[in-house]
Amino acid sequence: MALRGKVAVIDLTKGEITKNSIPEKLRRLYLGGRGLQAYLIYNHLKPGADPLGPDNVLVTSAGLLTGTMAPAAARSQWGGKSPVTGAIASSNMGGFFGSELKFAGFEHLVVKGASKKPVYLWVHDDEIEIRDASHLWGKDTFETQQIIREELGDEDIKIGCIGIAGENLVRLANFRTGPKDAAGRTGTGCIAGSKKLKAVAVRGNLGLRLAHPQKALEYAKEAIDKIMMTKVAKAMGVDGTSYIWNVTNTSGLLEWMNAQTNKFPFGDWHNMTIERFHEEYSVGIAACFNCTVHCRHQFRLKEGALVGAFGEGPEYNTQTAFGTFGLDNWGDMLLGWHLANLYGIDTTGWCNAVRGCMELYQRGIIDKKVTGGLDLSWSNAKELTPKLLQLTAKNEGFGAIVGQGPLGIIKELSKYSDKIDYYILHCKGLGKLGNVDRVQPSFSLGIATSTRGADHLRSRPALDHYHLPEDVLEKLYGGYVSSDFTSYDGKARMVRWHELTYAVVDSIGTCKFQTVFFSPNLPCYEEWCKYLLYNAGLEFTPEELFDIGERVYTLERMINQREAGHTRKDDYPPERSFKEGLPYGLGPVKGKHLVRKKYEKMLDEYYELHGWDKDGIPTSGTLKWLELDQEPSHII
Amino acid sequence: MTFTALPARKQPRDRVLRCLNCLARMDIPAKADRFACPRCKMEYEIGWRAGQAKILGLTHYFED
Repeated sequence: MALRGKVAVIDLTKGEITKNSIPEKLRRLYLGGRGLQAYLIYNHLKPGADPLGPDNVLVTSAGLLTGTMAPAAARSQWGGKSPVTGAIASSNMGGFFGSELKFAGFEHLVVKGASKKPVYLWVHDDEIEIRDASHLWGKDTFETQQIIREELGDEDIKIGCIGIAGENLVRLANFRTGPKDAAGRTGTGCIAGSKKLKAVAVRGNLGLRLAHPQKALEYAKEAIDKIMMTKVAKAMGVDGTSYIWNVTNTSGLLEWMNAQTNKFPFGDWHNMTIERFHEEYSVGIAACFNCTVHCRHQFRLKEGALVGAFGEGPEYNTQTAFGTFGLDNWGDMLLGWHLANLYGIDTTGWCNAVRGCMELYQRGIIDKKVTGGLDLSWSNAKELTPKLLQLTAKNEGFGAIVGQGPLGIIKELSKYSDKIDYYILHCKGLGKLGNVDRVQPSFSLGIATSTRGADHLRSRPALDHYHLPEDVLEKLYGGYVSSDFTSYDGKARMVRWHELTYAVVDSIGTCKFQTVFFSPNLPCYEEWCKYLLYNAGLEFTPEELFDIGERVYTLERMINQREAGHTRKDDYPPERSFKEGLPYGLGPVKGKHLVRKKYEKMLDEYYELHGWDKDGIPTSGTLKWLELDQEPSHII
Repeated sequence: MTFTALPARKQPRDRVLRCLNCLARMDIPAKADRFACPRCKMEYEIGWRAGQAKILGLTHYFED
């Protein structure tokens, strides 16, 4: 078979490493990346394992096509059992780590057990070494990467690592690579910290054996032409994902002050736009591996504690996150973002936790006695952010509460009120991002049913906002879908379609932003079949890929049921989305909230489309059809 | 190897936006910095990126 790519199992308790090739049967069932990772988690994770114990696994995966000529095939995927939610940990990142892992001869690293002392993995040309990392413990994520490159004598080494947050077992800790990219959500950095794994360094000169290199090259050209002709490619190439902020802010689709209002309450919204970032902070824009769109902002801090520091990003989601609790300008937001990156903290999750606690403070449910003297007023966000980020990273004081994420916060603070769960906005224990969901049923359903908890990257139906002709929608989704984003009609079909599609994309390893995520004119199943054929020599039909998406999504669901007991009760957006209408917004938005009866019907339709029962459990027929009835099969 | 789409990058619908209030399509005049939707009259601040029109915000942000 074309392409290299083995699975290595690294037992840090025993110091043992085993390497396995990937059987073609598993390729055809799961592709690679997120798909095969779900298989490896289900098979290697001891059922009921403590997320911070040695029985948890940390699985690092490159996509099946990562490192090939498929456009934007840059992604890597990190997973295990989440210390934040107790369900699946699953997070996907760009950059150059995934492609380098492939060039070094590996596609998946399954890290088991736990080391007694800090270590890092040195992965290079079919070899893996477990090396001492005592001298790296306590270093930030930028410094860690530089020290490893210097000691191994190669500036082209790519490194995934944790910061002090991961070392200190902060549940919101992430795994990072380069100056920007992060497997940000679900606490992958905390898992690494529990194993005393500081970093994974990769460098490869093995190359990839493409099945049909000339055809792969020619088709890449055709696909890139198609991608670059879309309006969104130009928008992304100039403004990055922050181009979305202007649209959502204008519509009233951003939630400020923990979703109490959808009108920017902290001054002049112009200070928050990407145009202001360009004027004051931008020093360039870069790309991930094999990407022609280049949406990674580069900046230099002009003031504050880290003046002169260089960084990349942020994305729209982080721009939104830091703004929602009171940072009202790019200088303060970039400082917060950069500090979080140095410490290795998930910015989306941390900002969600902070704004929830700030509302509790606003309502008098908690006070300075609880916060250790911290002023959690909205007007104090600028002073609060660096202090609380540092406390979080050290797992000290009130930071030790915030850093646990929603479930930990609710557990710690419920003694002060029985309404904590109402104000800490989450689904399945993962903090909600700062976008309004309650007027867009498809978005609400998507974040609620997402296998990793409240998150848009598992199913976001951005096309729902484009008001596309319904015949176009019907052709894409295979059935009726309303073109009105506030409607419930057909939205279960839409969400399920995006869930399966993104599961396929994450398994292949290409960037979601170069798929139907943003435009119906971007690559989809037909194109992916050609990517797979020319690069990997694997022949699939679009229908077969769609079925793989269903298999991956259902297996993730099975992990959640086994590890966290998830059922229908866990498939709802925060209660606030049902109870409080939006105070502001344009015509389609103002005054709206979710209607429970309609949501329940939509959820029933969603389960039926997946082949799950009324409680959200996959039926025996579905498991058999998807060949999941024999799992765990322990093939590798 | 040449990529035909890269040098041009100017596309026929670069000046077409959709009204976020009534969802009607709007043809934005070149270099305009404000534009009111012909159908619902909602007025927007307009910006430009590499010849592509974009909505920056409302000229009258949500009023109480």
